[in-house]
Amino acid sequence: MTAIAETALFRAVGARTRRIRHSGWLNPQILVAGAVLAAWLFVVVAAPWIAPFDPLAETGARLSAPSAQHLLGTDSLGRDVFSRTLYGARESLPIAVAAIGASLIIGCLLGAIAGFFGGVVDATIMRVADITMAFPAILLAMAVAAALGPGLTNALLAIVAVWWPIYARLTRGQVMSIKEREHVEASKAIGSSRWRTLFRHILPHSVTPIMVNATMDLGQIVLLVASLSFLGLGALPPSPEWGAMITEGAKNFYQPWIAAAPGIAMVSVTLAMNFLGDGLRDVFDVRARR
Amino acid sequence: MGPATREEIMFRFILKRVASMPLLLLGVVTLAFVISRLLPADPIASIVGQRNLGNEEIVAAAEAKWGLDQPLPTQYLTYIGNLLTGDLGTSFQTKMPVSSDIAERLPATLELTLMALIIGAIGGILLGVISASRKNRAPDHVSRVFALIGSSLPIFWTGLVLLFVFYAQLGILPGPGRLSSRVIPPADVTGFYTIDALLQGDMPLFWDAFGHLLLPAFIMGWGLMGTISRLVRASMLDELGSDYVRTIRAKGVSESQLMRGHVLRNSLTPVVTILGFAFGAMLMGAVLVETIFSWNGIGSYAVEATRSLDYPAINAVCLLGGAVFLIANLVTDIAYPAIDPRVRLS
Repeated sequence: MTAIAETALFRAVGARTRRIRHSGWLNPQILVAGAVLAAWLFVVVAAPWIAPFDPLAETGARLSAPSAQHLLGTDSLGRDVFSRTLYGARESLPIAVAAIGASLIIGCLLGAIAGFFGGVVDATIMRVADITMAFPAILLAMAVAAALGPGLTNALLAIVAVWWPIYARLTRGQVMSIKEREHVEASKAIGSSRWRTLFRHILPHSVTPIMVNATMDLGQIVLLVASLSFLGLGALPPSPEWGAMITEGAKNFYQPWIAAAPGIAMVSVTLAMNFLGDGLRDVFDVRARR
Repeated sequence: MGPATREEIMFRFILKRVASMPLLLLGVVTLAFVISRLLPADPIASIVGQRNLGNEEIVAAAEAKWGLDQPLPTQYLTYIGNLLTGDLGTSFQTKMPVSSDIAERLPATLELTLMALIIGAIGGILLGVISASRKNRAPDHVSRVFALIGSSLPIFWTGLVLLFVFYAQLGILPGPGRLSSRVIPPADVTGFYTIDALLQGDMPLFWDAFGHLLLPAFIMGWGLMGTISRLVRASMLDELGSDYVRTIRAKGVSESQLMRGHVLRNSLTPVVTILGFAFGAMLMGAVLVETIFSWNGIGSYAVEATRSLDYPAINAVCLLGGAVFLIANLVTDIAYPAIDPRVRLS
């Protein structure tokens, strides 16, 4: 099943069961996951200095197995797989972060407006969100990406189109419960405008659980970006984006090192994200509050 | 009249949910239509082929034939009108009615999805029980890691790796496709190769089809296995802390009987509801697995359709996906209060 469906399932589970809180901030799970992510962040910044070869140039014999010179071998065009994997982090990770960021902004804004103003505005926004969520995410993203044409930017737009309703729903729920609190009453009583009340007194209080969710989703987004690229709807050759590299590896099935490196890289990121999210969820106990 | 009985409330609740379905489906269709028509890409190239793009006559004739020369609102109304008569349109690519394309390919995906559900449910429940009965000990941790890995793996990559290991290296599982090459598919009764082979009484054929199902179904089911194991663990631990368990223990019932007869049974309610939801999500999650395993189902049909901007096919697959998702949700919403009387209807 898709990773996206999986996220949705985890949400459904979280909503219906009480999680057992048993760990604090400094548990090994969060630390290890954080270290892995920090290492990848370093790779994103420092790829040009630590990669031994140009990721786009033919620097060795074609399809050669891992050796002392080419640590992870070369692909069908003689490009160094190790260097490409390092550079791939620069393609895959920033796109995922940007997609989450844009979905957060759009989703939170629309969700806050829906929850705060209610009535027709609420109904309209939430019906659109419902309908969008009725689409299987990968399918909707495929349709959007196909229509826009392949490319990482369009893949990003496709993902935002699929992902914003999740945050819209979350924010709406948060805003609806917070707007009944006394400090909001007070803000209204002293004559603050409705927008000021929303942005100064309600939204800041809704942020934490939404951010934790976004952390958990980042891993899924990395997978979604790569899936689109793998289907030929995201990054295009010669980009070293991880999904595109795996497509390249699938074409050279009997040279497993080509697909192994980007795959392991991606798994290390998504696993770290999920472990981090899982750990944070225990710390904040967010799911129980939804 | 007295206050409404539970049956009456239930009936009204179901009626309300069912009544909202057509509107949601219309929304899904409209969104699919809008996405496919308002974006810049032009499908005409994929209809007439790159070579004929310069030929204005061919292009104009093709546009007229497929109704692409009409204004968008007209195209939309025609499309909705056709849908109401059960006409999903004609595929640009295969030049066949989309409904017959889908009917031909759906059984392959259904067979795969059901197998994945079975693997996910059985594996998940087993792992969950092991976790709950050995809470915070090694088996619990192993099962937690296994669950998290399941939802972290890129399906298309896992597929490649497992194919390489079990097919190319060890040779213990068959390669991609629904059957080995040169094996003739069974006569089409249900469209499920395993069942059709059994109906023919052809055991070698059954085992061939079954073997081909195992790897892709396991990969699809792995994520679900993780979800269900966490779910079963959490609800079993919840149950174990409740009063009735203390009473049963006090009566001297053995621990294994307590687990099987009472705790597990009560913990399975949420699993039933999640299966409906998972079915909807997985049916479409087949896209990536089918691509890797050359599985000739709806998922690979969707990929071909998006690659060639085959609007009628894309819209139809979206409609199917949306419909399955909505129906699965509906069934879940209805099943939940029916199975668990403690759930309040609102």
